[in-house]
Amino acid sequence: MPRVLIVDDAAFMRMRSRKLLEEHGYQVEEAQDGEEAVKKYVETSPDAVLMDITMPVMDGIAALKEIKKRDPHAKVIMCTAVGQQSLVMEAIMAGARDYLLKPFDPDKVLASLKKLVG
Amino acid sequence: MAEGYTLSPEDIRLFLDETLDQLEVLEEEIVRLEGEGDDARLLQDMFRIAHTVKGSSATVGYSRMSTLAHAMEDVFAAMRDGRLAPRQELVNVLLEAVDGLRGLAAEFDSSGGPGAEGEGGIDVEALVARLAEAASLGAGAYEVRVKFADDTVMPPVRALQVIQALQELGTVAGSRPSIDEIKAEKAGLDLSAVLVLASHVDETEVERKVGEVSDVERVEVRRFQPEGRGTDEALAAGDADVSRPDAAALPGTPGDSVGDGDGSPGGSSGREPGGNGGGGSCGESATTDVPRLLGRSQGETIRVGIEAFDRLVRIVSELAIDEARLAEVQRRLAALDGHSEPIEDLEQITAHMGRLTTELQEEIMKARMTPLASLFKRFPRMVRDTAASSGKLVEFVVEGEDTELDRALIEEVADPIIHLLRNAVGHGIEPPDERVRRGKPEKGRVRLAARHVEDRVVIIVEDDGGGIDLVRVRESAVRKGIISPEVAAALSDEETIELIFQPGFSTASQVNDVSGRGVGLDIVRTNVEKLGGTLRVKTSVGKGTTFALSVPLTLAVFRALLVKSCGQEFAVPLSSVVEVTRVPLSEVKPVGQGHAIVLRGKVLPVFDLRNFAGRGNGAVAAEPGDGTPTECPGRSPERPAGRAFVVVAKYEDMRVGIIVDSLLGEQEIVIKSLGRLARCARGVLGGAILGDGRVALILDVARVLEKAMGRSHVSGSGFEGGNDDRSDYQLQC
Repeated sequence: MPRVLIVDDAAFMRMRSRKLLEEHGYQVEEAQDGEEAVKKYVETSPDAVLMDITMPVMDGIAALKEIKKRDPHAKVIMCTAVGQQSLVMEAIMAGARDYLLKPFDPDKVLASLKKLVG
Repeated sequence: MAEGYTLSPEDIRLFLDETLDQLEVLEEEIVRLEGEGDDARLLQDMFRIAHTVKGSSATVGYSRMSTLAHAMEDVFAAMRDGRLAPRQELVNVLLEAVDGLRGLAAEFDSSGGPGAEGEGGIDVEALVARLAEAASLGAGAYEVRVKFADDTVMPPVRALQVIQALQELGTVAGSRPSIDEIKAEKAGLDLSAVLVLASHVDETEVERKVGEVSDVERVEVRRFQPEGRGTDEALAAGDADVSRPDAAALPGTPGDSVGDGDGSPGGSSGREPGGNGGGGSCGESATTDVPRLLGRSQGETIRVGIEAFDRLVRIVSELAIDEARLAEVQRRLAALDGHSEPIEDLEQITAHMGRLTTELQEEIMKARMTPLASLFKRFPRMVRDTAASSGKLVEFVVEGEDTELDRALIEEVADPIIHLLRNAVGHGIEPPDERVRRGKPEKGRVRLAARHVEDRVVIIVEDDGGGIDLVRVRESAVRKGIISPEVAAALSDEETIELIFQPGFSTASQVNDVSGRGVGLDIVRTNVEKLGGTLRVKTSVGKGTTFALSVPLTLAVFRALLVKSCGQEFAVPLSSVVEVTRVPLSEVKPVGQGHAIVLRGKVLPVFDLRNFAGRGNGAVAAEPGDGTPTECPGRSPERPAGRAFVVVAKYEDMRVGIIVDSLLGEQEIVIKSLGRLARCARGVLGGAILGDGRVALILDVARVLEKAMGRSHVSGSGFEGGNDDRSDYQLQC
C-alpha cells in the first residue's frame, strides 16, 4: 500500500485529503508544518508527499529543499493557491515533481499520485 | 544554483585551470579527428573530457557551461557508437563549441561567478542548437510539440516541467517559447517546439517522458530534420560521408519534414536554390536551419514588425521612382539618338527593371496581407458577453474570416467593428420577450461578414433587430438642434439615416430614444474615412439594420490617375475613376450651390480642381459667365479651345466630374502623410512622390463629391451649417 505524507497547517485540509486518499487505498501520514514534514519524511520514507506552500515555521519550498537534500529521489507534489505561480516555478526548479491547485479536484490529486507512485 | 557549496577563490581557480587544460586537449583531438576519422580511443577520450567538463561546471553551478558540454558529450557518444560521422561541418561546429566553453570560462573568471545569458556573452542556446543539428544528420534529435489541456493552471510551470523531463533524456537545444521566457512565466498552452538531442532513446520514449507531466493533452515527437536536407538530398550530397548508416533510415523527404504545411511552396522553393544549392554552403545552412525551424514551428511564420514592412515599401517606392526616371532618360536618349544599340539595351534593362520593381511591390504587399480571422476570432466572446449583460439572446454568425487585409488596416478596423457589434447586440437586437411579441424567433441574429470587392474589403455588421425608427431620428435631431424642423420635414429617408452619423446626434441618454442607434457613430465614421474607407447603413423598421464598412485592401500602395491643374499634380485613385471625357467649358452650369454638366443625358455634379489648387474663393472657376476668374495666376492656361478634361469618379454609387487641365497618365503611387498640411486640407488623403521628385496630392473623392454637390447629403460634414466653406479645400492653413 503506497504511503503519502500530507503536509498542511490546516487540520481541515489534512482531514479532507486523508479521507480522499484512504478511500483510494493510500496509507496516510500527516505533518502540520515544514519542519515536521522533514522529520516525518526521514522517519517514515513515504512514497510521495503532498506539500502545502504557505505554512508557518518552515514553508513548503524550504521543506522541499530539505527533503531533496536528504533524498534526491523524493516525490513531492506542491499544493498551491492561485497567484503563486512564481513560487511554484521555484519549487519545480528545486525538484518538485508536480503541483496541484487548491481547492483540490479529487480526480487530479489521484491522477497525479498515480503517475508518481503507480 | 551552487546551493550547499561555498566556493573559495582557490576552488574557482582550480576549476578554471583544469577546464582550460582539458579544452586544449579536446581541441587538439577534434582537429586530429578530422584527419584520422573515427578512431575509437580518440572518440572515447573526447567523450570523457566533455563529460568531465559537464560534471565540474555543474558542480560549481555553472549551468550554461554544463549544458554546452552535455551537448558535446552527446555528439561524441553518437560518433563513438558509430551513429554519426565526423564530417567537416560537424568538426567546425565542435571547434566552435570548444571556443564557446573557453568564452564561458573567461566570463566566469572575470565576473567571479556564472555569467547571465544574453548581454553579448556566449550564446549557449545557439551553439547547442547547431550541435544538435549537426548531429541530427545521424540520429537522435527530436522536435517535440506539446499542447496542454485548456484548464491547465499555471501553464508556464507545466512548460518548465516538460523541459525538465526532456533534460533527463538528453540536451534541450532550444525551445519556443525559450527556456528563459518560460522561467519568466511567459508561456501559454502550447510548447510549439522543443528541440532535444537525445541520442540513446527513440520517439516512444520521448513521448512517454513528456506524457508524465500532468495536464499534457497532446505530444508530437518527430525526428528533427534540417529543412531542405531530406534523405535524397543528403544522400546525393553525402558521398564523402561514408559512415552514415542512419541516413537512409531517416524518415521523409524535404516535403515531409517539419516545414510541411507551409502554404507557400513558391516562397520556399525560391529560397532553396540560393541557400542550399552550392556544395560549399552546407556549413552555412547549418547555422541557419535550427533557428528557422524553431521560428517556423510557431505557425510557420516569422514575425516582422509592420515598421519593417513600411521601410521596405518606402525603399521599393523610391526604387520605382528611379526606375521611372531611368525610363524617362531612356526615352529622351532615344529621341536624340534614334535606335542605337546601347539605347536599345537600356530600353531592355529599364523594361526588365520595371517588371522586377512591380513584382517586388506585389510580393511585399502580399506579405502584408493577413486573414481577418486573427481579428474576428476575438468577437464571439465579446458578442456573447455583451448579449449576456444586456439580457439578449444572440446567435452570432461569422463569414469570410479568411478574407485578407493589410495588417496595418486590420488593427484600424478593429475598433469600428467592435463598436458596430456592440451596438447591434446591445441596441439593435430586441429583448427576447419583445421579439416573441413581434413574431420573431426569440434568438436574435448578428452577422459579421467580410469579402473582397475589387480592391476593397467590405465588412458587414448586420442584425435582425428592430431597425432604426427614422421618425424618431428626425425628432431627436431637431430636439438636439442639429437641424431645423423645416429641414427635417424635407429630408428623404436616405438623408435622415445619415443623421445618425452627425456629431452630437447621440449621447448615451439618447441611445434608447432612437432604437439605441448612433452611439458615437460620427466618430466611427470619421475613423473609417481616415483609412480611405466608407461606412454606410441600411435599415428597415422591424427587420433590422445593416452597416457596411468598406476599406481599401492596403494603405500603402495603389494605382492612380495623375492629373494636373494650375501646375499642381493630383492623383485620383484609379479604383474611383469611371471614365475620362472632354467637354466644352460652356456646358458647365450652376446647379444649386454647385455646378454640373449633362453627360449622356444624365446630370453630373462637377468640381473644378483649379479651386482646389488654392486659388479659389469657393466658386467653380469653369463658368465663363459667372464672373469668377478661371486663370491660374502666373501660369499659362492649359485649357485650349475652351475645353477641359473631366475625370468621372465614383464614391459609393454616386459620381462626380473633376475638371482638370491635363492628364498625365496612370502610376503606382505610395501614400506619404502630409502631416499638418493634410489635416488642413480635408479633400486630400496624402501626398505621393512622382518620378521627377515632385509631390502629387491624392484626392479624397468623397470630399470632392461632397463639395461638388454643394454640401448636401454625401456624408460627414453635410449638416454642419456651412462653417467649413472656406477652410476645407484650401491648402494654406
